[in-house]
Amino acid sequence: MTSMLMTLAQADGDKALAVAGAAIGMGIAVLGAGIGIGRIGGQAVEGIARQPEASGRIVPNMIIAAALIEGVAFTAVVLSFVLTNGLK
Amino acid sequence: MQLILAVTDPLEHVLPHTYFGTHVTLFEHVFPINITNHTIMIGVASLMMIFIFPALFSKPDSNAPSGLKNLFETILEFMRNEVFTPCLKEHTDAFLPFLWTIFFFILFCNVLGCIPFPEIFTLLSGGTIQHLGGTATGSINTTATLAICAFLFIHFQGLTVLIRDLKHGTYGHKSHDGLRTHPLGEGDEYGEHQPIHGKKMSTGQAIVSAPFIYLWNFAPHPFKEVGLWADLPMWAGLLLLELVGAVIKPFALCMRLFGNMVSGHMVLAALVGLIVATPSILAQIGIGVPIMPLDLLIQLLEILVAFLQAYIFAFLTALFIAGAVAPEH
Repeated sequence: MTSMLMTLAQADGDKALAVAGAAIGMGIAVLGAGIGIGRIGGQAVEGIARQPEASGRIVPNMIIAAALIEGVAFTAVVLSFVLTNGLK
Repeated sequence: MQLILAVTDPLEHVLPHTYFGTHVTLFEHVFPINITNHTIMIGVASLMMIFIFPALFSKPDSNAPSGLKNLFETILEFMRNEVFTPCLKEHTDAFLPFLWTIFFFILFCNVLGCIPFPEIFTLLSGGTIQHLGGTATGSINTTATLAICAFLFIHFQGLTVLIRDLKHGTYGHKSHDGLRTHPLGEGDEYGEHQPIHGKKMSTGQAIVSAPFIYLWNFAPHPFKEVGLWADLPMWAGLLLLELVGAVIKPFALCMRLFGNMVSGHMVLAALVGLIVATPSILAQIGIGVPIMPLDLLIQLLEILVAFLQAYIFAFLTALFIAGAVAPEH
């Protein structure tokens, strides 16, 4: 993979490497979001399995927590896209 | 065929396209003012709200609601009773117009973006009208403006309620307990300040001292029993964190809404672009057969995300207003 990055850097100078770094950064940010939201979903489903009557209270809280984490992931994706001038 | 190829470029699908652009030069800086398709969609969503809500809800009506009125009344009542009232217990009705407006504006903008108006108008007009439509909240300018409105509203209302409490001398009382006050000489476990019992300030005094008291209330007050110097670094760190958080929370609102709206459309356009990019017609049919149902499901997910993001924005704004107006004593 490093040889691919070196080829990219020699081809176009700094812009190509910056965009490649942005793409890698986006992937890592989404990785964290996936882990977090997966944990929330799992714990919520486990809570519903223990007490099915509480599902009406658990599900909105799960959705809100998932949206908060996803907000951070989207911030990372948007900023890594915009700050490397991918959106001219 | 070329024009259909043009609209499946995923980036061009979500970027704003200017209809009318001009420049304003103030203090030797050039500010561009552009009327883009996103601006037009903001206008469409606002006109929809201006025409729908007064027509349905201006007259008090004791009949059971039906049709469109039933739909909107269900949503409005659900937002009020289940979402806003648990956060802002007694201040709900004061802030309800703003929160309802924000919710419905974002909802209409998101759902209008899910309907493919640009492609419909392009096909109907044979290629002359391009990009007439789009997701208004898919532009960072719109969501940043909404976040700035929420930020100004939150802190303006925090200061206003504080000024009103200072003027009436009810600052520090818990009104949902029936104006029970802390007796003098007994602090809570966090060393709360002694409330100003019934001390009424004049309007000028209240307005001048309100920003300082508001900023003082951002962080938990330093302990009085443990010793001021032992607790000062933690208090300073918490105050800094809260002040930074006051700016970052609306910023996160803006980014969350923008990212959700843009990413849905880009994924959809990229998948459709896969079909167009394959060389032979047989391969296009072959790859189109799985992609079209997948696109349909992703579009349904996008509609869910449209409703959800409007709900999340309104709910988080209500939560931040509750934190600013009635800081947990």
